[in-house]
Amino acid sequence: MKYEVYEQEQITKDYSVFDFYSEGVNGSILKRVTFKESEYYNVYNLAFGCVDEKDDIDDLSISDNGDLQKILATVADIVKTYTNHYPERWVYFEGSTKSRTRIYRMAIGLNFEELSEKFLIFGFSNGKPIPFSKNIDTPAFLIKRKDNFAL
Amino acid sequence: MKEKTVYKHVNPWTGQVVTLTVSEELNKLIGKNLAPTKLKRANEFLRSCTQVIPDLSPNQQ
Repeated sequence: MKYEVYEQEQITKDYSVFDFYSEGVNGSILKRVTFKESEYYNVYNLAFGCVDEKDDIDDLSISDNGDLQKILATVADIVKTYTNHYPERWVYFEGSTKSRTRIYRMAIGLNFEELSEKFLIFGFSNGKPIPFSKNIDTPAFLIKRKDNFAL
Repeated sequence: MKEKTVYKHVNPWTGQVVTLTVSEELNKLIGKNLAPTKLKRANEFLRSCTQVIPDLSPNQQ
């Protein structure tokens, strides 16, 4: 994704939590990306959003900070970092709402050529993973680093 | 003073240098489920699937 990213991130030593600040029209807003093991072996759920007062992720908040592309590019860069550290893991994610899932689908679709050089990208249809394509109407995504790429 | 662990990497798409700093504060969150609703929803969806991991064998690609 040829968009500028946020260059300063705080992380946990196991790479399960990444924090960065969104800087925009509404000020400086803490964003968090986490990776948590699902019930399925080697499948990790990506959660993303603002940080609430309990230190949990609020994935329904709308910060409207005018930096959506930079945020999405930063999250893509975080996925790259994570899968570089854990190349055997699959990263599962979905939007917190249908419209957010649609935004993710559009972002992947617009940058598919570059992303697919480094990642295997799948959507889901009829209960099965299928290779991502721009017109796919998928409720969720599954991504893994390509084996032959050290990112 | 405790030394900070810092990693740097170059974003492959923009060439920007990204600095990752390991945070002692964040380390306290290791193992916690920080987005329980999201994980629950993910597990429910994955459970509803007949297949979760794609077949990457050569004849399937």
